[in-house]
Amino acid sequence: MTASKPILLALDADTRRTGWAVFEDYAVAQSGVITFGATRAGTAQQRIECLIAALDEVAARFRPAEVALSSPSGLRWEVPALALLESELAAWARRSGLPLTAYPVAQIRREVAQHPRAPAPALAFAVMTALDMVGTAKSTHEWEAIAAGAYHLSRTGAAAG
Amino acid sequence: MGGLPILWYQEFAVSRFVLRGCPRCGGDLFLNEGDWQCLQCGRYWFNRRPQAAAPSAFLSFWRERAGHTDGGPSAAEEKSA
Ligand SMILES: [Zn+2]
Repeated sequence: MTASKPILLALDADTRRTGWAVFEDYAVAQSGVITFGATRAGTAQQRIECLIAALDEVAARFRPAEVALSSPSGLRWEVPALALLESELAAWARRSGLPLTAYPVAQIRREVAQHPRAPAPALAFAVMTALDMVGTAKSTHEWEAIAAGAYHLSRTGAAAG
Repeated sequence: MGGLPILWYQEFAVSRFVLRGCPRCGGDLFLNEGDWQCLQCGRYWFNRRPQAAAPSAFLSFWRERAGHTDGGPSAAEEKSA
């Protein structure tokens, strides 16, 4: 019998929509999307504060032991809001005592969907077939988060044996 | 793309289908010369390229965990190996 894996929280972070997925024993236990549609106005900083508050709720509910992040910083364009988002997420993980591993988006796509710029549906398809989740209805951001988590588990799980 | 002839459709074994597998439209996918094609929207999904002789570490890991040897894309790949 393989030992069960501590609970993992995987994130596909964006300042407008953040997908999250909780893995329990190598399976997706729950996933969702945090949106900030209600308050259209608001600075990136304000939206990030909303995100952090929502993440606190998710963490309190599922009590993850670690966090895997699909990091947008690998993208070619420079967006100050994304840099801020990443540093705020890193700070949040530190405060919460959660080890955070960030993977560039392109790296996840290359490993999971065999191409660094694989389109979102191709990534979703690769993940749903690998994890036996074909037919499961999830949003793009959830699949991105699931891909990040699944990739993280494939690295750490393989290393642990 | 139009509809497929019923008889041709029936020739495929169950393992050549992924029901509701198309991420774009939710249609059924079938294995068409090594690639998956959606019966509903006609889109191709190149999940397993022939030149990828060795599956990625990601795929190997999850396949090992699932331990499945039949059904879906993995069966197709094992056959071609
Ligand atoms: Zn389709």
